[in-house]
Parts: sequence; C-alpha cells; structure tokens
Amino acid sequence: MAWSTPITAAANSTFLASQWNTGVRDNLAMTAPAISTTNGWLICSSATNVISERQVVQSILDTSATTSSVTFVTLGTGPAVTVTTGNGALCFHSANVSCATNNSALYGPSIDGDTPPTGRCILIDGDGVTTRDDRIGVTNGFLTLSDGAHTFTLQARVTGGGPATVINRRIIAMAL
Amino acid sequence: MAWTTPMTAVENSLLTAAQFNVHVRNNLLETEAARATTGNTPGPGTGATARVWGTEGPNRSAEHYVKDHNVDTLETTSEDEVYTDLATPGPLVTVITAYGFLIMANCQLGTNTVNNAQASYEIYESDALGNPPDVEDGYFSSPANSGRAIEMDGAWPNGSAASSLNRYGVVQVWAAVPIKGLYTVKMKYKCTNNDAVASFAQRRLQVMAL
Amino acid sequence: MAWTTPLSAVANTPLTAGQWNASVRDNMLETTPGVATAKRKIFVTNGTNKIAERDLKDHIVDVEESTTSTSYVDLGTIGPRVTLRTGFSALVWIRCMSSNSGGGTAHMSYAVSGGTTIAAANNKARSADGGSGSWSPASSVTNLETALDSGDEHTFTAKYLSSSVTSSFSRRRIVVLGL
Repeated sequence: MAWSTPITAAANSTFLASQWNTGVRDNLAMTAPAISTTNGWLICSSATNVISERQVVQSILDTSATTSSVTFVTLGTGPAVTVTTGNGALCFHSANVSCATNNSALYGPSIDGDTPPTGRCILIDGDGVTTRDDRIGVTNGFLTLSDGAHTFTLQARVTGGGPATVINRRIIAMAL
Repeated sequence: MAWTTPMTAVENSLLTAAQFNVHVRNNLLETEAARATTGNTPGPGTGATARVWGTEGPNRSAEHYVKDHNVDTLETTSEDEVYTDLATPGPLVTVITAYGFLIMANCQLGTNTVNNAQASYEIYESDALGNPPDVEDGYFSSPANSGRAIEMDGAWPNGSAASSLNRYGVVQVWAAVPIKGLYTVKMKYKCTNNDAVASFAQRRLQVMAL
Repeated sequence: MAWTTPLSAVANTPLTAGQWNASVRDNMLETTPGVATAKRKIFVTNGTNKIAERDLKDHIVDVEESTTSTSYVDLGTIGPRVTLRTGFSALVWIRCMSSNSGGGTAHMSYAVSGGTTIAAANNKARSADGGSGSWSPASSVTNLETALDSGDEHTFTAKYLSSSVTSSFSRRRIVVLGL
C-alpha cells in the first residue's frame, strides 16, 4: 500500500471500486491512526507521504561507578538504550559527575560503538581541592543517522589522574 | 484547501462529486500522510532536518522541524555589556514556526577569574539562511539574556578563580513568535567583567519548532 | 467514534451511508487534522489506531529563594510547576542556578501529583555540590516518567532541599512534554 494523490471527482461520473480502494482505503491506511500501534510514541515523517511512530525511551542506572581510564569505557551497562530511528534522534543524558584530581571527567553517549567526542559530553573540571558532585545534563542531536536501530551507550573517561565518578545516571533517546 | 468536518451520509442519498472533493479529496490532502516530506531545509546545520508532527491550530497539523548546529572551536570574549558573537558566530538554527521552539543549548565554558561566563541565545525573524532582514529595525527579535543562559561562575565552587571549563546544557521553551514564519535561534556570549577572559567551546544547539 | 479498517470496495456494490460514515467520516476524524484543536501541541500515539495531541508546557520562577530543609519542600514561591494531560509517560526538564552557604549540596527535583503521585528524589535532581559564596552553573537535567496514569492530568512541581546548609535557588524552570 502506498499514498496516491486523491482523485478529483467529476459530476455524473461513476465512482469505481478500484478508485475507492486506491484513493480512500489505501490513503487512509497511511495516516497516523492507521499506523499507530503503541502508546506515547511520537509521529514523525520518515519519507514523502510516509509517517512512522517513533519511540522515546530511557535507561536508568543509579549505582555509583568509577574509572581512571583516559579512553572511554562503559561502566556497568552504561546505561544504554536502543531505538529505531529515521534520519535522527535527540539524546538527553544526566548524571552526578565528579573528578577526584586536577583533571577532567567526561561522560557522554557512544552511538553504535563509536568514540564520543568531547562535544557530546558532560565535562567536569576537577580542581584537586574539592571533589564536587554536581548532577547536570547535556542534550545531543544526532541528525545524520541511517534508518534503523541504533544503540546509545553512556561512557566515561578522565583526561588524567582521577578517578571520575558517575552516579544517578539516565540516558533518554527520542527517535525521530 | 482546508479541512472540513467530514459529512454524515444519509441512506439512499446521492454522493455528489463536490461532496467527494470536499470531504474525501480535500480532507485527505490535509492529513499527515499527504503532507509528510523529507529533505534538508536551507540554512546552517550539522545534521539533517527531522520532522515531528504537531498542531498548528484547530484542525490543522504540521511538521515541526528539528535541526541542530555545532560549532566546536574554542573562542573567547571579554565583552561584559552585551551578548556578542564569537569569532565564529553561532551555532544557529533557522526553522519555520507558528508558535516557538524547544531550545536545547550546550556549551563548555569558564573564565580565568572569579567572574562569570555566560552563553545565551537570541531569536530573530530571518531568511532561510539565518540572516535578519536588511533593515535597522522593525523586525521581530528577542535579545539574548541571562535568564536563558548557561552560566559558569568563575568562583565556583571555592570562591577563588578556578579556571574551570565545564560543559553543561539547558533546555527551555521559548514561545512568543508574532506570526508564522522563519526564525533563527543563535547562541551569543559574554562575561560579567571585562577584566576576565571567558572561553567557550563545544557549542552545540538543537531546536525543535513548536 | 473510533478508527475502523477502511472497507475494500467491490465493483458494482453500492456504498451505503453506514459504510461511508465508518470508513470516511469516522476515520478522517481520527487523523491529525481531525484531532488538532489548538497550536503548540505534539501528536503521539495513544494505543492501537489512536493518536492524541499532547501539551509541551513550561513555567519560570526567577526569584531567588532559600531553604535549610533536608527533605524536599516548596520554596516561598511554589514551583515552577505545570499541569497537563499525559499518556503513560512524560519528558521532564528542570533547571536552576544554586548556591550554598557552606560545604553542602543543593538539590532541585520535582514531584508529580494528580492522576499519579511520585515523590521528588535526588536521583533525578539537578544538584550542585559545595560552592560557598558562588553560584553553581545553570544546567538542565532530563527525566522520562513512565508510570503515569494514561489519560489523567498530572501536575509537575519543582521541589528543593539542602543536604546540610542554606541552599539558595534562582532562575528556576520546568518544561514538560506529555507523551
């Protein structure tokens, strides 16, 4: 089934069953109520004359975890979420993040196993005096994805020294 | 073409061509399936344009664009009076909207003194490329202000200059566009004392039109 | 009115008024233009063959106020807070700047009331540690509430506590998207 431009009826002309099936039945089958199978998902355009339901999903990991790795690592399960997207997603993550030394702690999402750049991350600059433990957040736009399932996993590292500590961790992906 | 409340048919009455055109053809053309589109919209942007369906008024729905723009270069300012552009302006996002935006701004920022670094955003009527009208005034704009800002106190947390460059984000709704049209959200920067040097990096902006 | 699978027409078979009303009238009324009532709403799925328009609301309380309470309370000016109808879930963003009189932690979280009751908690708060004499960075945190009573109105109200000192809060904002 696909969308087709609805016909323009002409007075006194016979309306065929095939015209109904193409112009009414099949077109209605492409609308939002026809494709809706879920609860609380967004409705997004995924192609010309095509819409899709897109999920908003969260993963929570409240336990404290630490790392002194200078390369990004996944602490426990991250946390992580997997969603099916169209051409993109918005990603929101929040956590208590701290660094015990005069270095930086970074905490941000890896997509499908890539290495998070600094620009995706919460970054806390330790001063080596007071290990503060703010709970803060960052948002990311991932609008260059291919259609399909993508996994967003929070990862952490330090720039040196450490450890970095992360607690009360949440990641939310809004598929688009 | 506009939406018309679909007619209620009466047994044994003829369906006229005009009724079909109003209640079937025109109404179908108002649905999301008829109007779903793809492709990037003009103007600055890092990724593609995504589209979330929302309302535009009674019996009117619309694609609400989602766009983003990143400027990662570390740049500085000592401007302390008005929010300003850095050497690389932005990031900035231009979308069409009838109501406003959900704005998500993120930045790494800090100063070399006990003063504050502030990253905020302005909103203005624009063309598709993010340029304001070529007039001095008379067009809609909402200047950057501290209420919207990501702000880093240089004295945080110990009351002395820490020269920390932390990275945070803020999420806010701004919803006061006068009429439906093209508007640009653009990040702007300043510090709270011109003896300070405020630094900004990893500047990333996401905007969902409402 | 509800969605029904549009009928498949058969050649030479009259279309009845009942079929028109079910397949055209009633189904059209379930599409986005049929459901839309006002500006500034987002469409979401609301079950099989059902959609709903949901609010995205925000509220700002800029006044600086303080607390020494070690359990979540209102400040002198309650909020910010918003009330909206939701499905099973809602996206919640909260933000503020905070300052502490000494080496403690300032927490801004939110409570949910109405169709469902959910207490404020540290694990979804925006929190700032230490910072005597200076203001913590303004930052938002995001939470997805997923155990709401679908179809009910819910009120999301910012709440505050201090771990051990006097904590002050300003530029307080909440944004909620019903899903």
